[in-house]
Amino acid sequence: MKHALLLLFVLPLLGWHHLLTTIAEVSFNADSGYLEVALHCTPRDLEATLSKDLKRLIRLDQEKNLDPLLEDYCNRHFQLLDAEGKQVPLLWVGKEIELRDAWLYFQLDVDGKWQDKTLYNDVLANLHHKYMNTVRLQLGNHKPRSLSFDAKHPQRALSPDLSGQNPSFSRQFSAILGE
Amino acid sequence: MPARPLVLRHLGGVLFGCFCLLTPHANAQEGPEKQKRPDAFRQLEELLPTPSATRTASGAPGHAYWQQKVDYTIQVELEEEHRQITGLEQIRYHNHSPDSLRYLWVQLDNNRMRPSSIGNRIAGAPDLSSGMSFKSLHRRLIRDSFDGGLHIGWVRHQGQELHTVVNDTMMRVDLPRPLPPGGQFEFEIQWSFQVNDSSQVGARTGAEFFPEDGNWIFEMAHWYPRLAVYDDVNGWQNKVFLGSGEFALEFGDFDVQITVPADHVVAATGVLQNPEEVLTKVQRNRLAKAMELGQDGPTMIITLEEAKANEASPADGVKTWHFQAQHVRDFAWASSRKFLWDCWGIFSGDPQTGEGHKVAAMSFWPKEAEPMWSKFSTHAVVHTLQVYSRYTFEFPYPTAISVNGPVGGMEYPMICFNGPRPEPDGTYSERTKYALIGVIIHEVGHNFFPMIVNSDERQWTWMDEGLNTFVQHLAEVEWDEHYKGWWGEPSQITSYMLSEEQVPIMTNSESLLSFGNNAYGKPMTALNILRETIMGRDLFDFAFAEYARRWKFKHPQPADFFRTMEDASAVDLDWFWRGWFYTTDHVDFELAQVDWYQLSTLDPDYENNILRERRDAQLESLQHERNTPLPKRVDAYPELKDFYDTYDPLTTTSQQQKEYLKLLESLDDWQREQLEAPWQFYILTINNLGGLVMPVLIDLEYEDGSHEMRRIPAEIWRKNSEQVKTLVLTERPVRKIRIDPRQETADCDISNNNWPPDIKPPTRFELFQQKKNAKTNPMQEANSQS
Repeated sequence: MKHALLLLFVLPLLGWHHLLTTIAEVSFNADSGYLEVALHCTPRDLEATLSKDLKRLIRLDQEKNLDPLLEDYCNRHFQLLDAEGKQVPLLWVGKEIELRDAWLYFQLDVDGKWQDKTLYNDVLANLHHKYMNTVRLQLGNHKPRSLSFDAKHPQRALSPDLSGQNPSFSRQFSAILGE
Repeated sequence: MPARPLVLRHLGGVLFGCFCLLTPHANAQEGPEKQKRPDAFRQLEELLPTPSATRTASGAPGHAYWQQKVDYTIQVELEEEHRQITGLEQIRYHNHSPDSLRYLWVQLDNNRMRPSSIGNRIAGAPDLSSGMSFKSLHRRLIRDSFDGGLHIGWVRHQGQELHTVVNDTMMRVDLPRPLPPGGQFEFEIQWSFQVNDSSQVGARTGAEFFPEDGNWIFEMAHWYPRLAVYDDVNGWQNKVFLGSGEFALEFGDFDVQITVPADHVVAATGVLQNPEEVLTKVQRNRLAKAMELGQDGPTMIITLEEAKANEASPADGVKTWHFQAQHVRDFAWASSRKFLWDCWGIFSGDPQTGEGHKVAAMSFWPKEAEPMWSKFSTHAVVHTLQVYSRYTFEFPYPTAISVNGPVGGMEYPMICFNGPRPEPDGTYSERTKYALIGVIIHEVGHNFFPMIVNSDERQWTWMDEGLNTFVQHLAEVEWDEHYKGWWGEPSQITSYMLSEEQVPIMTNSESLLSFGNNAYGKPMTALNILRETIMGRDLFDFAFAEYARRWKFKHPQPADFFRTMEDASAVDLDWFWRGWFYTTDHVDFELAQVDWYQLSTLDPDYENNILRERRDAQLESLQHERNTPLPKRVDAYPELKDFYDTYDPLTTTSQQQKEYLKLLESLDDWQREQLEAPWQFYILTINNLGGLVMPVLIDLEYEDGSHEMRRIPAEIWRKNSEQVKTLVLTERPVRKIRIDPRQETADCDISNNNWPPDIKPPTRFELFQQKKNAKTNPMQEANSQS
């Protein structure tokens, strides 16, 4: 296993009664030309996935330098890809972590053009194969709509005209090569 | 009333939105179209099963309702070192059906943990995009090699082997002769299996090892062959267990003897029959004290120090714990030498009449779960029983137990397994605290749905998870203020309801997409909307409790729930069940147009003045303004002027004045008063863009800043589910109209709900940025103002 990682902690067990879902609100800011993202997940699962990724126990309320960890996580698991499969820059804005809710905020620099982009979203998907990530899009004058992502379908086109088409590149493959 | 219609003054019509569905004029030109709109109010008869003598059209069990009964006598032994279970059970099957049965189907759900099980073979691929840990690889390899299935030694009737056939998690037992209606059949099964180590094979059952002290906690579920349900709806409910659709089981009586290491403490469904043999005198005395009514909290039966001492020095030998349980659909148990134990005896029944019984609310947990568990667990058990009983029926069982061990959260009759623990140093985050209280309320709440209101989990997850999550929410908001708004706000489900990858709630448990949203979140939100917005609390609460009462200790189906809710409330909800449970439509109303009218006074002077003011208020066109100073020919040659050069159509003529006076004479006093009244007429045109029909909730903001809420039932959509017009009649002018301002209906796009349209509301991202850019925090701001 070329990419095997040794885990040194016990992953918190997911209960049977678990919603297993994240929601991201993505809106287009015509002034800045960025997509603005507010990503919601449960703090408990966020801790679990960061711990799994970083191979140490992460507690959101105890981690001294949490923002870079979250930015790095979003960079790897919430990727916007252009027509050639190149990742659009992610600009970290901040976080709000409360009792039941964790909100992560960042921008995606699409330079005013989101129509040809594809979103790869496997946030928390490594915790459970039933994880379903919903992305609510408010793009320009288009009606709001939602896209769903899971472990089997982590990649979808933003444009309604392109939805259902499979991009010609594989993000997963590039990610493995990159590690 | 006057013979002629009142005249209305049209003050303006504003068309909003770019998604208007209507093109009425175009249709008119092309000729009349047949009605093509979906009939959202079409009755559900075409979808629901035909009522019968077993299940009536009212949603109640019919006069011919029947269900089977299965009694078990079980002897089981746990061999700790090898995690081995060996059992022998005598089963008495009571055939209450009108049918002769040639065979019985028995569930062997532990067979799901065989490498070759159907559930294992159809499991989805893991995400390998970021590699795989050694631990994950190890778990995967163990799953492919560990055999946790039930090994059937023999199946016998009166000493004779019965012919059996195993199909994955189902075993058919062929009867020596058909079992007639009203008959009983007794047979025995001997079996064994190895308990899964939950750190390697996760399941709803398992054992957890504590390397620090070398001890285990066993939480045992679907550990014995269980009879499948035979009913009037499915015949045999013998779908194999694939992993998501949980259990469908018959009610019956259990007599279970559990043999475990002598120093183990056992918690189980039912009532302990031999406390003298397995408990110390001190423990028995403490239990007796704990069960005295009037205690203000739980009493420790096994303290922390005693549990530490017990786990430190394992004893030799075994003990047999004997339990009996009546009228339960299943039996689960937990066993360990690590357990602390507390108990709080409460009364379940009518305190006025004294009719009722005592319930032992108890918790079992290891020292690793302290101090959270002694503080919260049994309190949460009692709280759950008290709140759920208010919304359903008095808790009928003698015990309710919460156990901490390897299973994150799972329910069985009278006992449930709950996972959250504090940090190793005993501290815990606020999140962990509420995770623990929430999961205990949820799992104890499952006693009501589906342990007692015994729906078919293998077919319909929402019938127990959705209903239970709904009542869980009612219990949580009565725990403390922190739970306010955690669940059930309709706005929380809108993103899911917009999503493309959806199936209706009425989908088999194994085929659900986004399991949590579909089976927990959406049905609980739907019930919450029914209660708060559509039916009101009084009507809803009675109907919901009536459903629970009718189907207590029976097997309800979805139609029984849908029908009872209508039958007990006189509210036709077919449109609601159809939209929310049978489709993936969402709610999106658009306030497309507002037309504003006032009553004409009919006084020509007054009306002409208004028209003149309106005309004069209009901005002159640029061209007209520039042309005005130009010299005019008629000024140079005044002889060209005639009547029309001075005629103003808004000048009242004497004829008009005469007619007006004549009209006034023909009116009575009330009619004349109306001509002076300040009535405002607003015709609202509302488009349904999402498909789901819902009540139209209209907030009127008057010019003086006051508000009035008008609630129009969903039936306004009964003839046209795509567009409706409604009249809002007020005595004061309105300056703003909002549809569903408190977001009660799960409207997925509230930006098109207002007149006049709002400037786009800030996104959550923008709100965060505003907050982030603020130079002071709220406390500094408050201090600077004081």
